[in-house]
Amino acid sequence: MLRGIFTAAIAGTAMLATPALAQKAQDTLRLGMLDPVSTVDIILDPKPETSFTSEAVFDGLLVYVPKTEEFKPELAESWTHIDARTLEFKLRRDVKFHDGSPFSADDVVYTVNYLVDPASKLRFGDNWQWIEKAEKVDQYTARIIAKQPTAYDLARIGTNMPIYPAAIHGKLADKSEFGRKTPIGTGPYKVEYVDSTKGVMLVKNPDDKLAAPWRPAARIGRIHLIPIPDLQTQIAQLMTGGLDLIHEVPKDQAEQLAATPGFTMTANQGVVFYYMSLDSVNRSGNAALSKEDVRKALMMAVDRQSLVKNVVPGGKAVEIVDALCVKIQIGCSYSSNPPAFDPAAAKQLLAKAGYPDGFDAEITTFPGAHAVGEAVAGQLRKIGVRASVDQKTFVGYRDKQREGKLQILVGHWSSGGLPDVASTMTYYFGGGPRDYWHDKTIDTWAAEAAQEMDPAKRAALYHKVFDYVNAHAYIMPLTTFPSILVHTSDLVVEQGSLSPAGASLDLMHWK
Amino acid sequence: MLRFLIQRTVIAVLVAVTVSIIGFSLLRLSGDIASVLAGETAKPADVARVAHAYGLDRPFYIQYLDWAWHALRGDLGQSLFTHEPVAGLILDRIGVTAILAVSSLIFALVIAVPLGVLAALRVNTWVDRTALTLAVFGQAIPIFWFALILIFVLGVMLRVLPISGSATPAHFVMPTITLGVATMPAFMRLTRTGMLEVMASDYIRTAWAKGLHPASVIFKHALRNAILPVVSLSAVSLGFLLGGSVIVESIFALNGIGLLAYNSITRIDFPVVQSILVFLSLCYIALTLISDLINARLDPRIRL
Repeated sequence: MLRGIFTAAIAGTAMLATPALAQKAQDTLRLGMLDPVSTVDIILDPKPETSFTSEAVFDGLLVYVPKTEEFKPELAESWTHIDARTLEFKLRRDVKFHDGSPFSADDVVYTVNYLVDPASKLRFGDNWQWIEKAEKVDQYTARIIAKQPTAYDLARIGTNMPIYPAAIHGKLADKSEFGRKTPIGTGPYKVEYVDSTKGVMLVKNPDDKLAAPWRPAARIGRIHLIPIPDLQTQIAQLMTGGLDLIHEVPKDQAEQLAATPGFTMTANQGVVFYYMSLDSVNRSGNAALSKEDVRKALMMAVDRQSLVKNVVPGGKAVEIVDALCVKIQIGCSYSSNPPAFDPAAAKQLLAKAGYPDGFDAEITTFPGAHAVGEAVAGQLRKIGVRASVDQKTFVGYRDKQREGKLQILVGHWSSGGLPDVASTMTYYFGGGPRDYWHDKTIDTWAAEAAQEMDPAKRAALYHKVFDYVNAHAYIMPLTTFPSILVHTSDLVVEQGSLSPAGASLDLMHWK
Repeated sequence: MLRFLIQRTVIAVLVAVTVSIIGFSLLRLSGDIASVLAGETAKPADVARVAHAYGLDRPFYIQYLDWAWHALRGDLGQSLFTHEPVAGLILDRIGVTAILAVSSLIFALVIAVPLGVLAALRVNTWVDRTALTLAVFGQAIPIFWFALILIFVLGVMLRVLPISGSATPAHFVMPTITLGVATMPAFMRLTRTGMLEVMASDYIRTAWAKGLHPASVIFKHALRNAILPVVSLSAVSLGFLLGGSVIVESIFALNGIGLLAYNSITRIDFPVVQSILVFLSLCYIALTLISDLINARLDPRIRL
């Protein structure tokens, strides 16, 4: 509340004062980072802030372009499946790393084998556990061999797989030093410094050979990522010309700021969406949720249109989601919707299920979903369900989930940034701690789809899964979850990024 | 005196060990770090792999002894998330926190002591009431709100001070005022109370009767005695301030110990949190020990 007043006061003052000038004249973009960026290497410290830097400094073999829903080349010129397990990549011959050393198949083989090696002790190492190894065929040809046919192999390779210079990274005894001290890539931006106090300074790479419509060259001379852990301070800096862009801004504050002359809000929808999941197997001890009619009644009480209009920030980028996927994702195929909003019918269904006076239910939420969780709780109360909200930290939510205490969860799912629904299957289902449905039918279809190399057959399997989830009212997809960026009006933030940060630096330029 | 010093040192070491054990236990109880490290997409097998890789699947006491053994040899381990050496992380940040702590303490003392003296000399007048109101203000106002008000007035409206960062001395002005105002009330009240007591004592009455200059009576005779508790409190307050104010460092983007602790706690970065905890407890213990020794030196009865 106090912080909202602070934002309004600052925005009001800024309206009266001369609009802050961005650093367009100096060709330097300054971004506020809530979390410190101590390395530019997303493999060592995977988080949204690092995805900003990693995507700007490094290139992958290929990239998924959501606009055209196809894979496009980066360091690989072309690729082909030699067999169901083997991908062969023909590599670019004209690419040099930022230090001038040439890029070759050795770098690809080294990087992939480093990612796969359990001794590397990578936090998100499971992303690469489907790979058996990488092999060099010749100086500019490399192969990646999977342990078994893996239908989402290209999607995974095209998501956060930076290619390191083998000669530099391989020599480091402590690999964490690479992203802090010698972050050499091939990307559109080079690293000038990484400093825990000053932040990260990136400069345009003049020798960039990989520019393409889907992977533009740097269009801004210098980019300074400045750690400022308090959002109100970031807002003050934005308004006084100390920053040009801030992100992760709540709805009310973003709208206040966007109404201020000289500032704009950009909402970018990647693959993140909100959902409400219901414990159908009574792990949590709330027996009412085991009844399908009860679950359907709860879903009929949720007004998703109201969430779009009043709760989730992002304007037109916010849409209702009808299946556990976002349309641009590979495998996002379905033909049914969750039960439609109808509170009167919901009450009748509850009565029919044996709960005419409603029942007690606890909604758990984690950071980023608290507001949506509160709104859903209010809607459930309107049909007589005595819904309370337990707002958890991320760690607390994971503990509660593992202990089987989640009755209703309102959360958001990012697919790990993957443009493929495969990770959604392993996220929700498969019998692990997150599985509150224990449905063998889904597990069978999902396992089959993960290895089905024919895209049409694979999509058909996922189609069955998503329709099945809707039919049994297991999980209700709610709305998309766009990233909100507020920036000076002379900066353009192009759409199309699937980055967990909600935007990519190479998609930013001055007007 | 030597016996007293040895006794206090032994107690200090025992307190440090106890703090490290309690801290280690509480941190381990605060959540499943392996599942957080493995990320939201991790399967149970992946979480188990991460737990094994980081040694989190070992018995609790083995983990503690391993940490303590390395810590005794100066190896505080690496951050679980950034893999940076913990000792380096703390050393990088202690400078900023020390500057903020010392400047805030000086600011608080410079305001509080004269104000306390003035309030005692003009007890129950508007001066006294103003001083007490300021003290209540300093105690009652939320630090974050006061910091935001300063940013709004000095940084946004008047634009006379930088809003965040630690590049120049000017960057420390607003954080110093914020933390200093929060620290000042205790000093002010203590000075006022001490001065009221001392000013009513016989030897001060004698000093007045001898016709000494008022400045001599107040500063040379009264304040020297009244300020002794303030000196002791300063040592403890410095320990508190060295702990870093999470809020102040966060709002003003000062890359100090408090901010490091906050970031590490939010993602349960065990080695960093544990090391900061022990480091800060050692600071407290050292400052308390120094305070005890000063008091013992000044008042021999304490040594008994």
